Amino acid sequence: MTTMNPQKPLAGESLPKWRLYRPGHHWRSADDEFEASKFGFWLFLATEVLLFAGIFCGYAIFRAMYPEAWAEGSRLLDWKIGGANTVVLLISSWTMAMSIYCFQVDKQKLARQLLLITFLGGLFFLFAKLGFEYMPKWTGYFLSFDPALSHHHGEIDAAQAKFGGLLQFVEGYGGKRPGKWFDYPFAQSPHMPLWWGIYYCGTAIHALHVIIGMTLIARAWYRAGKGCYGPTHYTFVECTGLYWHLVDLVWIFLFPLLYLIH
Amino acid sequence: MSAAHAAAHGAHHGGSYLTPKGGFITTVWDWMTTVDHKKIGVMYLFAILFMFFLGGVAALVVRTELWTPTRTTEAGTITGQLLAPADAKSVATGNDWYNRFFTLHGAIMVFMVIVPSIPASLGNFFLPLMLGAKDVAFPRLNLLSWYIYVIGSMFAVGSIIGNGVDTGWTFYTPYSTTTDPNHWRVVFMVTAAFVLGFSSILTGLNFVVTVHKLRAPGMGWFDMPLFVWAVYSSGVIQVLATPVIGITLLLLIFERLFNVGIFDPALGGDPVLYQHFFWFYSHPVVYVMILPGMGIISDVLAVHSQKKIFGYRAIAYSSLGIAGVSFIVWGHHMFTSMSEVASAVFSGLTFLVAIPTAVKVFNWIATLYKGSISFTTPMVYALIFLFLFSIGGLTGLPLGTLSTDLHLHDSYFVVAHFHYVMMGGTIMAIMAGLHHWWPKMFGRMYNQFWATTAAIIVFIGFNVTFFTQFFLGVRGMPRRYASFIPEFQDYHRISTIGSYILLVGFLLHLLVFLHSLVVGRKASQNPWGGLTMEWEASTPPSEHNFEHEPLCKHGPYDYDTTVPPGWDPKDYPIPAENLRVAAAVGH
Amino acid sequence: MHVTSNILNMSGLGDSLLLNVFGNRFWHEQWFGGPAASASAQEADDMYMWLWWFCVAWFVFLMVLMAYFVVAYRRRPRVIAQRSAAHNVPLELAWTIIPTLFLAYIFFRGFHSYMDRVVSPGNAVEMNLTGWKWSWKIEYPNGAESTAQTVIGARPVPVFYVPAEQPIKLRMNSMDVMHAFWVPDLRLKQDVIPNRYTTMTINFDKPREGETVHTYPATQELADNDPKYREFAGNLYNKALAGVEYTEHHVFCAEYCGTEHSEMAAIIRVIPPQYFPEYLESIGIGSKTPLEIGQIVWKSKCASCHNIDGANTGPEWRNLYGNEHEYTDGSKFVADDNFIRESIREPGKHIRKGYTNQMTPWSENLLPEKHVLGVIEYMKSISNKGGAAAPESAPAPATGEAEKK
Repeated sequence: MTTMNPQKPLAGESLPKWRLYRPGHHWRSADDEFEASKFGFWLFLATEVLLFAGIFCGYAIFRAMYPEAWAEGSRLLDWKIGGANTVVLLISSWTMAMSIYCFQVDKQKLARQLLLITFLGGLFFLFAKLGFEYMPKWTGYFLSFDPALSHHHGEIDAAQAKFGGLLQFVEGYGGKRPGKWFDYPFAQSPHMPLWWGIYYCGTAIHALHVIIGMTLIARAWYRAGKGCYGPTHYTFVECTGLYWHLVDLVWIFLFPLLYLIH
Repeated sequence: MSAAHAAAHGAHHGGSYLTPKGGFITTVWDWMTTVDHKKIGVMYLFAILFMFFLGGVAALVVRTELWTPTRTTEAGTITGQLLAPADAKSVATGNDWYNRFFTLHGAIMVFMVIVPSIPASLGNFFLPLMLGAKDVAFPRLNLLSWYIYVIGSMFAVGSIIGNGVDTGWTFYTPYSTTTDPNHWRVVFMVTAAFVLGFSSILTGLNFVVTVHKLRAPGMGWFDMPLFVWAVYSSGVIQVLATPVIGITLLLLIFERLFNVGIFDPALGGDPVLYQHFFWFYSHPVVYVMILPGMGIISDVLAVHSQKKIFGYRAIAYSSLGIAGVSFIVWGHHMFTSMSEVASAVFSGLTFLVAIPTAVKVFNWIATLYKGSISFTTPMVYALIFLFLFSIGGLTGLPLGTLSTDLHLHDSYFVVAHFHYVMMGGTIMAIMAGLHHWWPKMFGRMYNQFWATTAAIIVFIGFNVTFFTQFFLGVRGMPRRYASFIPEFQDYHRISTIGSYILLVGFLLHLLVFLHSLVVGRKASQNPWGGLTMEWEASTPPSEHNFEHEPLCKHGPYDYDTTVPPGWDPKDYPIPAENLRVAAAVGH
Repeated sequence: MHVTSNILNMSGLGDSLLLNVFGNRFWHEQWFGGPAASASAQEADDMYMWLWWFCVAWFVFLMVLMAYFVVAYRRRPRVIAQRSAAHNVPLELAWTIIPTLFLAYIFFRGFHSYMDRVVSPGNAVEMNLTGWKWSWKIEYPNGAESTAQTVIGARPVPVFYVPAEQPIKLRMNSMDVMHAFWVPDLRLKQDVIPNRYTTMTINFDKPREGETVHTYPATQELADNDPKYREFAGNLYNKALAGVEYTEHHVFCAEYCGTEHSEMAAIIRVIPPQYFPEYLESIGIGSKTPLEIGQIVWKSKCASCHNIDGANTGPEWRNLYGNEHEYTDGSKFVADDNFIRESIREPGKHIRKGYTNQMTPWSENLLPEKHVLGVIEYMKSISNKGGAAAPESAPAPATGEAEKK
């Protein structure tokens, strides 16, 4: 790989910040610092994987205990929204990786644009999750441009416009809440509340990670504007990228487990 | 004259890390924003000692309440309760307070004292020094861990101020999800444990990376001191086990706030699942608590008998072995709530842990053979550790054995067993380490006579307190009882007396330390004749630890090759030609 | 180990204290304080005593070695540590393999004895055991529920009469949080878990050597003044047990369950099997009046929290029925039939001022309607506003309540 030790500016030359970067005083070289940061971040990712392992473990155990609730629950989820979110996250993972590549070859402008696209991908994911999934399931209110309104004809005929037509209320659709608050009237299995408990815990903790990842991306975008990252110094962007790939990876497991297998 | 001031005089250029940076405000600000691992280690030490004091007070309240059994008299009044009004008509008030105090004792001692104690304080201070590094890998992350620790502790203190929590430190469901439904204090305490978990993860991660990437030139894996090996192993456990308690406690918080039902039997959830999750973390974390203590003992025994440790590789590998096996034995906390097959499997696996532990004990005792043993305070504590830890380890056998565990599970036998391991092991080890490294940390010696006297008082008090509890447990005394049948009273009284002897011992230690800080004799660079790198730094160490980057020229315990024949251990320091900072590096 | 003590006894030296401290019997007494109550528990005791000697041997070996080294190699002026090997492969292999073999033996022996103790024999009688905050009850094979009680100190605890020499399989369930049923004399314990059955097999022997044998009073007069034999109100004395010899065994809750965890005890009284059928007959609930049923329910299910003379964890019952009380939200209700029924089925709805919500909701499955009616009848009988069922001279307001206001 390219050497990452800082260069001394020539007289009269104005260098971008990334060329002036010096490693912490306890490091022998910037290479060492970069390698250690990456190693540390991989360890941190291992803790994240183990955190989600708890959710997956709970999912597997209750699936074995109450298969009928799990089958019924996953039929109530719309794989089209989940699938769209999967595609968006996969694309944003790709733009994230490309952005790091652009920093490595010092294409600053393109790198920042790619970061922005990644951020917007995260935003879309959260919007779809909250607006098209959490809100209708929890309350029975749909956004009036929700695609579900048009293809769930059987269930959703009785929609009534509320809030100046922005929201549509569907009687009997809401109430799919976790645990004690569950009051969806058409549940077959008595263990449906538990399914929603796992669904909300899993997806909410994942959504929290999406928000954290977006914060990191926003910081990288802001600091990249000041010229902080370039071929010899891009540790923060690299770690942000690793984190974003983990967020993606967790969703790649959550999506089929929750939406696809009945 | 303050210790810091005196120390500043001794050090050469730049002064020691303790040298104040200016006026009072500047100095406080400097400490609060420092990224120096030594200062963070000292701040951890004081924070942990403060929490140890709080937990100790709770323990004394618990023992004092148990001086007499609670009795309902024929007239309907309650006697023997210290924690309730004298005219109480029911046991509820007194029992509730008792339950809160034992919960506080457990939660504080586990999450805020023993888990972070050795790695975060002594480990933080000495790991980089022992590796010949200038700092840990991520200094700012290190400071962040300390602040997270403080925030977590504040949540815990918050729940104490809000009248305390009565769930037990294990937070077993469904009790913990249903008790006290209208208050936030249980959520606060669980949040405290959750937040402290982050502190633990970040510290462990930092140390693992430091050991991988910041060893001095020439220092291979098997040239590291055993304390470093132990902190490394426990760091691995912290990183891999803590996230599981993280998700468990998070689900518990969700359960209380949003009623999600995962652990709630009324909704089809599974309270035993909580126990599995909880012990999947909390058993490995037992080794986070004890492994660094074992590391300290390995170092102290070698230095104070001036002898190469016996079976270095066996001790190093057994640390890793214990760390590995620790992940597959969690079920032995649940022999009375699992199926027979699962119990049998976990019982068999549990005995596996006994093997590396036994190997370590044999190695330590073999190290003493043909040594030159001096009865310094750290050495006395190391011997106390061997005595108490052997009892703690051996009493694990009847608990791991299925047939006898059916009787002993959740009894005072368990209480005694884990106090022998946690307090007789970890706390005695931290006392050994503190006395071993105190001169290096603060540049002052302490009064060895009084320190050793205090150690012996602690030893006696400890055995009086906890050995009786083995008998109580076998005779049928369940743990977490505010009251008991009169047959048990004699044993409880002996135990309570012991706890006050312990108090006297620790207060004496406090006096010895304060005395040392104020008027202690100035310590030399290497008062015990250690060969590990921290003794080559000045006393107390300068801000960047070493004048020159040290070069590792011999193993940490190579007394047979570095010490010339006929040399008296009192003639410290060791002749310069045998020291590690060689002339080649420009000394 | 038995052999050792037998040899000591045969040689006539068994009484000497010096030799006693090496005797198994002496240490068994020190550890357990009494004999095991069944043959399988005795097996566990033997295992424990074997481990005890094993641990003592290892501990003494290690400590003697340590003490010898510490003294022999103490620091002397101008003497450095002698050269000695820093490792020794045969020695290290030996001290790895030998403990491993011992541990394997301990595991298999412990596993064997464990299986003997947790697997119930085919001829076991099934009984249902229920735990809740903070008491226990047993439902016998004929549907009758345990109703006897005795006192520890002055606190009432339930008594379970069971036959000796008869394996009993307890099917256990908790109504609220986790509990654990521990019978120290049987060296057995099992967690009691909500929403799931766990089982535990108890099998008491005839009174064993060293056990104290008690005798149930032969007449009602003897029993009347002894709180140990207090049965449910109105039936202080059970004739079916007159003069029967029994042994007594403690039961403790071993899994932390809240405020009165340490009071959640019970007593098992083991009676000769020939008296058991008659005892079962005597406690059947079939032909009882509502008032009697109410008394039984109170004693077995409510009395751990509700006194009839003074406040406890829950409100006092005397003069409760028909009177108006204040609740935590400031509202006031008259405790009539419907209010009492609701307070039993959904106790969280209205909490009496000065109390907290501690009570388990008693659903139809746990407390049939007939029992609720019985409780109401019983409350009437001890209230000054209980109508026809009220006591002729209304009792004075209870002291506990008076002090609270």
